[in-house]
Amino acid sequence: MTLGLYTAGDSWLHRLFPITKLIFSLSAIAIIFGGPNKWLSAILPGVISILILWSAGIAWRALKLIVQLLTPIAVILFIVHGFFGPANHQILMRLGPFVLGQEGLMYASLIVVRLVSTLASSLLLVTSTHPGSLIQALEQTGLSRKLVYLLGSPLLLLPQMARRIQTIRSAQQSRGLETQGNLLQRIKALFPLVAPLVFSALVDVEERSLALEVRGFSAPTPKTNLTEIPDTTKQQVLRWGMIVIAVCFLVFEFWRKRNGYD
Amino acid sequence: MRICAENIHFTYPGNVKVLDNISVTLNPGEKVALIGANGSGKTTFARHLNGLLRPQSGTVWVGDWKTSEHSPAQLAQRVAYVFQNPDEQLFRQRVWDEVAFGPQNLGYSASQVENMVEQALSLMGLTNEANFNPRDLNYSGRKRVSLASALAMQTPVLIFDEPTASLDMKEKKQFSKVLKTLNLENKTTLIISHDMDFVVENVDRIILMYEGKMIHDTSTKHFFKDKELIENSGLVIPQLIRLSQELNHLDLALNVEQFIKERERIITTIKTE
Repeated sequence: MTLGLYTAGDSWLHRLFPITKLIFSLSAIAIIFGGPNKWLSAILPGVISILILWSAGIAWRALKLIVQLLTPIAVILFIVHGFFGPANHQILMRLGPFVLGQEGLMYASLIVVRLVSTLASSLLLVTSTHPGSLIQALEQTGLSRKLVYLLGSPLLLLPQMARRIQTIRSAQQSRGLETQGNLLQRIKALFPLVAPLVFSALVDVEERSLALEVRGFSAPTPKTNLTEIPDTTKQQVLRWGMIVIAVCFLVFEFWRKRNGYD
Repeated sequence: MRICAENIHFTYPGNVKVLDNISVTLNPGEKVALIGANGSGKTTFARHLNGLLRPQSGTVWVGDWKTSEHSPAQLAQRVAYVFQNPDEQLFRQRVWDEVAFGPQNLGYSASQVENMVEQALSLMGLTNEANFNPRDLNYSGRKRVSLASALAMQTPVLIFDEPTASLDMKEKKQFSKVLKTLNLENKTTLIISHDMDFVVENVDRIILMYEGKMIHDTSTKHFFKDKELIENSGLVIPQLIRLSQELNHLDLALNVEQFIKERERIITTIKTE
C-alpha cells in the first residue's frame, strides 16, 4: 500500500522510531551542504542512505523517484553551468559558438550529487514512515499539537491533493481544455488547473480548522493517545550521536573557512 | 447524437473490476438516469462516454467517433460533463467568464460565445449574477454556474453527475425545466443520481447498475412498478410512487399532474358507478 511516497513494509527501517529517521535526514542534509571536503560530504550521506534503503527493500522505488525528479534538473544544470559557467577556463569541447567548460561541469556535478544525496536521505524518512506515525512521534516528543499539525498535515493531505488534481484535470478536459500538446498549450492549461486547486485547498483549510475546533482540538485538557510508537534508549543515543557529528562537521568547516584553509 | 457502448470492461489498478461487459445505446433526445448504489460503477461508466477513461476492452462510440481515438478535449465538442463538485472547476473571476470557458475552448466566435453564455445563464437563472465572482455565490449558486458552463457548450449530449445535490426545491424545478428544454432540442441527457424523487419525474428511461454490471435497462414507469427490484437495489422508493402503490387501484403516476389526473379518473368512475 502506498500513501503519498510512503511504502508499507515491516523492515527494521520501517520499525525505527520516526524521529530517529528525521534526525538522520536533517543531519545528512546539514553535512551534505556544510561538511568539510565538499565532494566526500556530498557523496557519503547519499551512499549511506541508499544502502539503508537497500537493506529495507525500498531502494528501487527511491532510486526511481530520484531519477524521475532529478533527470530534468540535472540536464538543465549541466547545460547552464557547462556552457555558461562564469568560472569556465578549461575548454573541453566547442559546439558552434558555445564552449563547454570543465569548471562549470564540475560545479554542476557537485550540485547534482548534493541533490541526489539530499533526496536519498529525505526519501529514507518519507518512504519508510507513515505520515500519521511521524505526526504521532512528534507529539510524543512533546511538541505542541498545533505545531505538529502544522508540520504534519501537508504530508497527510498529499494523496488527497493528488486525487483532486486528477479530478480537476478531468473537469477541465470535459470543458474542452487541452492539457496535452506543445509547451504553449500546457502553459495555457496551467491556470485553469491550478486555480481551482488553490481555491478549494483554501476552502478546505478553513473548513478543516473549523471542524477541528468544534471537536475540541484547542481544548486546554490533556490529550489521550490510544497508541504509542516505541522508542528505545539505543535510538536516543544514536540520535544524539548524529546531532553531535553533524554539529562537529559544521563547526569544523566554519573554523576551516574562517582560518583560510579552503 | 447516438452514444453506443459495446462490451465495455474496465478494471482499476489493484485488480478492482469496475465495469463488467457493459453494452448500452443512448439515443438522440433521450433522458436517461443512471442509478445504483455507491461503488456500482456509474461514474466510471459515465467517464467512458466523454473519453476521460478508455475501455480496456470494448468500444464506445459518440456519433461516428470512437472515444479511444479522440482526446477528452476533442470529445467535449459532442459531450458535456458536469462534475458533482463545482469547486473542482471554477477558476475565473466572473460567472460570465466562467460559463464562457467551454465555448471559448471549442473555438466559437466571440458573438457566438456571447449568445451561448447568455442563453445558459438565462436557463440557469444566473443572468443577474453574471458579474459576480463565482466564489461569492453559495454552494448551490456555484453548482448552477457549473451546470450553466456545460449548457453553454451546446453539445448534443450532456452528462450530469448528481446535478440536484445541494439544489433547493426551486432550483430543482428550474433544472427540471432545463432538461425539458434540452429534450425539445433533441439532446441526449444522462443523469447520474441518487435523488429518486427527481429521477421519477424527469427521465424516460432508467439504467440500474450493480457491482459493475448493468442489471436493468427499462422505461421509468416499468422500473418503478417493480417494488422488489427497487428495494433489493438499495434505492429509496419515491414518495409519489409509494403513494400510488398504497392506493393500489391507481395506475402508477410519475409526476404530480399524472397523480391528480389518475385520482380524478378514479373519483369519476366511482361516482358513475
